[in-house]
Amino acid sequence: MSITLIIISILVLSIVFGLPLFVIMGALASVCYLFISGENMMIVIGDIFYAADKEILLAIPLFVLAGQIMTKGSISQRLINVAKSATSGITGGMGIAAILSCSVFAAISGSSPVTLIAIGSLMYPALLQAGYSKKLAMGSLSTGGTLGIIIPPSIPMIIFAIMAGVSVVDLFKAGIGPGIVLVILLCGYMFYAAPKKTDGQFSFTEFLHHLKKGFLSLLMPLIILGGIYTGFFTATESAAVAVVYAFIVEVFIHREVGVKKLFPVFAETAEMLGMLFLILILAVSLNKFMTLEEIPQNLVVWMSSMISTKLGFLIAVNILLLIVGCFMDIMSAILVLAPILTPMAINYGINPIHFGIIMIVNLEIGYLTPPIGINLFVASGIFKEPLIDVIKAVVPFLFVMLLGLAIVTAFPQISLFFLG
Amino acid sequence: MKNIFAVMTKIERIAASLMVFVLTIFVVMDVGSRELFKTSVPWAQKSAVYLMIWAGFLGAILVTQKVEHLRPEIADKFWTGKLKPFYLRAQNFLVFCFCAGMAYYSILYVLESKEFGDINVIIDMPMWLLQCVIPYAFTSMSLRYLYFIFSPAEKDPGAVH
Repeated sequence: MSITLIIISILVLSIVFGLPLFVIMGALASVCYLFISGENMMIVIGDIFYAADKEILLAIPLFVLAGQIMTKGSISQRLINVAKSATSGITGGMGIAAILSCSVFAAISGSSPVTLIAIGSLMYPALLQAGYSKKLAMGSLSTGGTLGIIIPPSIPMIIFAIMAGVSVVDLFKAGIGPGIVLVILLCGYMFYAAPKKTDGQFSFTEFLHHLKKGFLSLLMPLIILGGIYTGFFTATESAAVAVVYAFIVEVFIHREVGVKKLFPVFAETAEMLGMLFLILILAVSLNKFMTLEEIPQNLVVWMSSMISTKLGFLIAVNILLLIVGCFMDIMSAILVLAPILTPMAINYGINPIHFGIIMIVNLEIGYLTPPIGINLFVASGIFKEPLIDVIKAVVPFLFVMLLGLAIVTAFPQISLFFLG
Repeated sequence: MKNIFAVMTKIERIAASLMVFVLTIFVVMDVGSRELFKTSVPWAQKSAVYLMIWAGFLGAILVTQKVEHLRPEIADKFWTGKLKPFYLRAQNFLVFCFCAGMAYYSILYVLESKEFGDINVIIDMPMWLLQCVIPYAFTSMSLRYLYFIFSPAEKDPGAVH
């Protein structure tokens, strides 16, 4: 039996029996090392240990931990209050406040579903009460929730950086511009689609009051991004600072999280790490094999013979990633595709950091597309609405996100501006 | 069997939580020392990395217990009715085979590492001690998947609430 047949059989078996991704990665790596390189199986074990032995990986549990600590308190309510008081008096102010709250919370939690749950559960009734249709309220919150992975710090960005061999700090910096673009586009759509009335009068005193209460929460993303941008912190250092800051703010200043409430946070962080860890290190082993066998380079040559222009490649890769986003979760897609597609992108003269951002925005859209768009399921659960209604509600927002994707793809300066 | 898994899960959960806690302390200590006193604690970051590796593997066991490993779910909807138990059994059997194989080879790997006497110079610790979480994790996971083969409907036999 040829090796190609074995690999195809593994892939088919994995999909037919819904095997965990770490098994798929591990089985492929083992088969490739055994049958192509003629190596011993122990090489895979060695690979996974040395793949895990990387200091940059420390940023993952630390950012997850900081987000978990911050979300145990009432930070979402504080952010919503600031955003609502800042936008009252503007047409569609409440809807814009929802998007802004999502974007700031996303920068703290680093997770799209968590952002949707935290902000969505509080903002959905408020939007309905302000006269917004269910469709608009559900669509805006489900889409706003996806901003978690493009606005740094973002776990998918760390994974991309490891798999593509680029700087996490550069990728974090590059996420700022596209994040702002997407927030502006979504706010613009809310301004256009919201009921044509203002949500109360703007009061500077009220705004100052809420700003004072939410100031420390708002400061966290500024400290992290500011530290990274100025070169003061590395990604791991900024993650450590985020944990300390979150702990001090929630335990000693806001006093909303008792030390007892913090115990499960460490176990939840370990579980989150465990979910990614095995897949990541086995994917690195497979990636090492592919690099040794020059598979990405051969694919680059093959792709160059099929598509001759940069524009053609960008169109093809965007279509591919949008389709992949419909069927694969973001982590799996990055682990599988980043090592293959990044060398191709570099070959077409695309900056790998810019390409990372393109990939993440594409897969961010995947959070909103059936059959496995996770935000659709989360939204259906927390808003207690049928899934089909949520899907219909996000359709206009999908077009806004696609416009954002086109802008981010066409103008690399947006991503590369903060890189200097 | 259910009780054994419950005890194992409790211990693994506590151990993983402690490791995340200690690794956080180590990184914060190192960063704080570097930024405030312009001197780093050489062993802190390396120790934190190994604690993360242990926490990651133990976390993977906890995720196994909760049946929350990421996987393609496209085929799930085709295996309905009487086919569903067969599907779950086959799935758990295949994952068991993989984990058992990995456990076997990781034991060989760790034994070889012990024989060579590899030592991590930064923290002055034998490598095999740091690596032994790999066979433990795959063995623990394979035992759980073995249990799932015979009891596929019960997804979380040792859940700790």
